[in-house]
Amino acid sequence: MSGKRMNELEALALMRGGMTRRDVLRRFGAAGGVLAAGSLLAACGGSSGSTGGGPSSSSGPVSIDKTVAPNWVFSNWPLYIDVKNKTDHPSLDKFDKQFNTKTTYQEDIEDNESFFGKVQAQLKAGQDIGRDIVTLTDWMAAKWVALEYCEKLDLSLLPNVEKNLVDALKGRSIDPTNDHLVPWQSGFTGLAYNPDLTGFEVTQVSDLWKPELKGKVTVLTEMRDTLGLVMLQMGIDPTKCTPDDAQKACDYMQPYVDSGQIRRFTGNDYAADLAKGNVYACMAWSGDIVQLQLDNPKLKFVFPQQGSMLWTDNMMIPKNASHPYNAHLWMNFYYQPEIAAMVEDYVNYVCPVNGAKEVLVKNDPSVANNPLIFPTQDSLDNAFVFKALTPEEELQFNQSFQALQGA
Amino acid sequence: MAETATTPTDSGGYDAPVSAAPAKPPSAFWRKVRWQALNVFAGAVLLYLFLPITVIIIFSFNDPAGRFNLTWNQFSLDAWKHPFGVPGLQHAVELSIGIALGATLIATVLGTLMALALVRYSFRGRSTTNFLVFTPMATPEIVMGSSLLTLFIAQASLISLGVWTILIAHIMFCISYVVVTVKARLTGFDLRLEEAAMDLYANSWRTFRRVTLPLIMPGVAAAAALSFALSIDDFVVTQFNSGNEVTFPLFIYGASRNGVPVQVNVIGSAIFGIAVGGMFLNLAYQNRKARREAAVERRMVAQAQTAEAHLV
Amino acid sequence: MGSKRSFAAYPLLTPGVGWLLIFFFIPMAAMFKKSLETLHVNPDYSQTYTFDWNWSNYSDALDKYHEQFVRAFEYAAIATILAFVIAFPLAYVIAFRAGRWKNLLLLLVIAPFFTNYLIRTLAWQTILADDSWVTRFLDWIGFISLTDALGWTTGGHLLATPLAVVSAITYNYLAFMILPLYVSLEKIDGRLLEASLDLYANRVKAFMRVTLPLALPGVFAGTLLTFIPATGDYINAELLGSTQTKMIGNVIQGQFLVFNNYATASALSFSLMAVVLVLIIIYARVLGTEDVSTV
Repeated sequence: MSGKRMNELEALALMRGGMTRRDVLRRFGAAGGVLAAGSLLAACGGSSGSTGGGPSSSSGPVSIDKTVAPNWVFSNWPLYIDVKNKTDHPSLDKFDKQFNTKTTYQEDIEDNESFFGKVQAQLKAGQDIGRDIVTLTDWMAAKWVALEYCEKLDLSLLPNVEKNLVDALKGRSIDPTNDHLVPWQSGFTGLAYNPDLTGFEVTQVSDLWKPELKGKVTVLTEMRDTLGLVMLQMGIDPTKCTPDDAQKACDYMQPYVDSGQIRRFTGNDYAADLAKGNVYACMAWSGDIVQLQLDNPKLKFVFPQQGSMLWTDNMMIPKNASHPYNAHLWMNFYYQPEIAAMVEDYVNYVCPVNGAKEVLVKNDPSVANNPLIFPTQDSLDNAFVFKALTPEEELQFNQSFQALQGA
Repeated sequence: MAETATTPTDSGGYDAPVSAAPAKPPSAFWRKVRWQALNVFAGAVLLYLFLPITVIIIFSFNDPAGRFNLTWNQFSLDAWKHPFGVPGLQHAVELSIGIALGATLIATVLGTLMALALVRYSFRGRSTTNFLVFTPMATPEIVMGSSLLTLFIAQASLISLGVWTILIAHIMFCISYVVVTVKARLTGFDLRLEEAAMDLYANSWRTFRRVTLPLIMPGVAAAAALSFALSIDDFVVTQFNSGNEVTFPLFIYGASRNGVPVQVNVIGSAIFGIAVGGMFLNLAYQNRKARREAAVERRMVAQAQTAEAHLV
Repeated sequence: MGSKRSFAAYPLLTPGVGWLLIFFFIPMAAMFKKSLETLHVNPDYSQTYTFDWNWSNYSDALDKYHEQFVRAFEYAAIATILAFVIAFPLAYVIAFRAGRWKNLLLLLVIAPFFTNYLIRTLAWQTILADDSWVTRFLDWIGFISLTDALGWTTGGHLLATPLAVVSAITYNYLAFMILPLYVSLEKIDGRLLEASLDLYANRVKAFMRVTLPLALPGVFAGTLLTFIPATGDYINAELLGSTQTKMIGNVIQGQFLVFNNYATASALSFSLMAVVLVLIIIYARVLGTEDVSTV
């Protein structure tokens, strides 16, 4: 489901301190299977160090007019909230009823970069971009925090967030003062395939290179996802990779691009090809596949044996938004387990709200047992956050990757 | 004995003198084949032109199994019954139509005035103006769109991207087409009609309104129709200058990643149907008009002849 | 053309010319200026531009993206030639053999282009899908193996290949080739042909020496109106192609709308425009500016 995910988790400061997965688990304890997806992100917890772009928001807490506005705008990725009858969103309806307001929900974020491109000029000029909440992936969220394009949150209005946010997502270095971002969903990047078409079970990235899949395989344009998975396949640690590693990964993939083994590089438009049968196996995002499985139960998503990639999308209030109070109310409202569970039932990504799983187990046990939504500890252990890149590194990584695509 | 055979082909004309029958049937056959081959090819091209259209219309009656309307699943009229059942689609279509109407109006007025000037007056800078008009028509849309975006960004304090910038952009690229279309119609215009009106004591404005305008109206109408079509279909220039607004083409583009809803096919087919229907009606009307005029002419000629006969 | 009091023209011209100047030519100048600016990405990711006659934007951009630039012209050229080959016979048949069905046939030619450009192109995704009748038929007759060998397709599928992109461009611009050809063919006086045949020319010779030369203005117009927009096209490459079929239009779009590298993007866009302008000037010289717009 959902739109394109630029899942690069190398949010500005994610692995600054050079913490490894193991460090993380030791620090936060490998608690049983609940929503510890963020535990990986815990890497951010308390890490120090700085590489360009340190936190720069120094303005004091926003004093907001605490009256509920009659309407407000929430921008999000497509298919990222509960849906009924194609157009209603029960969670939003409940919110509207409780607070006597009207939410305009827009699914106009397709891609982190292009959305940023759309609103950048207005943000720079200090104008209201017409949205009170936007949801962006870690690394882009980090940029907004650094550029002071999002408002400081009034934490006194967000007691539920304080209470129910999973520990792992607290105190991340992309949001050092902890008052700009509120996680919405997390997700995995792995492999999706149609076993009827492939004829065998896909278990690792190198399965994509089998001759019978020639021309029926796609990988992602998202550099951090594709290179991340390939590095894991090659035994390189994506949490610590260098530009040389990136080049090695690209060199490894080059013959498959040249020979036509890889059909093309996709955004989330792999979904169409997968559904149509043009593609038999591809790199994909977990939540998308859960949605596609509703239409075609045969499709499967696997966490590659060598490891998968992990990322989070965050809610934030753009600078000078006109209805920040409503935005706060919604963030607080969402962090109630029952509401989060409502959304989770449809969204099927990984929920950052403690207690949602328990609610779901009662109402929809099938979802509660879906390893893509409530990942097992094994999958979590084997999921990695891509290293936070400096602008220079990012340039080099991108250059290698662009050259690979022959673009 | 040489005989010049004139077989029933279009420019058959002279064939080299051919001796006797035996050679003819095969060559006549082959000539027929060659003659028909061209027609068959032309027919094939027409079919090729309509292939995607057929697919679009057929799939507007599909009830897809999932989000993607790429495989035929089962017949359904649901999408036709609820053509705006997808959120955002209605607003996008309304915006497209609104902008098209606005752009058409302004571009037609501006363009017609320019065409009048270009055709009737000789003035300094006429060839430059011609060049000025032609260049936008031949410029790649992406260059037009991106340069306008650069301008709007530089002037961000004066104007922000949205409905107005889209409208401005559309007017800009429509003007050239209007000028060219009206010009074509104007070049055959007989100025003596205007002179006659002026001789009969009409002033310039009255002449324009009662003589010129009605006569150039078909050209202006054609230009307006062209302008409307260009505007409602425009994607590239709009994508660069729309800011957060979504027109119908932009809606389709946005939806193409996650599955284009069947309603889009419905609206596309509807626009196609209306446009083609309109053109057919126009064609039929023209035909009837021509036939009626021919009939009138014939009657007048017949009357003149009988009158002549009486005199004689 | 009457030559009346020449100053009366100016008030008629001013609004239209003014609009074009402000919203077509000045933006070009603005884009040119932007292409000479230098982009500084500050450590905190904000961007500032300084105007400093930075010609290296051009050399850098063209150096980096020359492949896509050349590819765009290559695809556009092939598409134009294909369009000509397809369009000419049809235009010929309508002009010379259609008689009273002319207008109806013309209507049928234009009608498909009343559907939205995007929907039309998306329809090709369905038609050229791996399991469609078209693809399966072409595979069965060995066409796809042939194109694989030639490098026009890869991996035995039609989508996400240069072939798909080029044929979609050909299709989408076909009307721009058919109509100018038709207009100039239709203007040919049939008696000229008769005369040539009277003078012992056979049909092929009559065609080559009379018809084709007289149709030349239409050929030029059609070629230009097809080739030039095709060079800047990016939708076909995006919807039906792969990263290896990217055209300069895709790059410009990405640079403007996704990466906001306005300096580089402007340099690329302006380079494209420069090449196009040269072609237009050549065309205008050959035919004269009056005829340019009234083919």
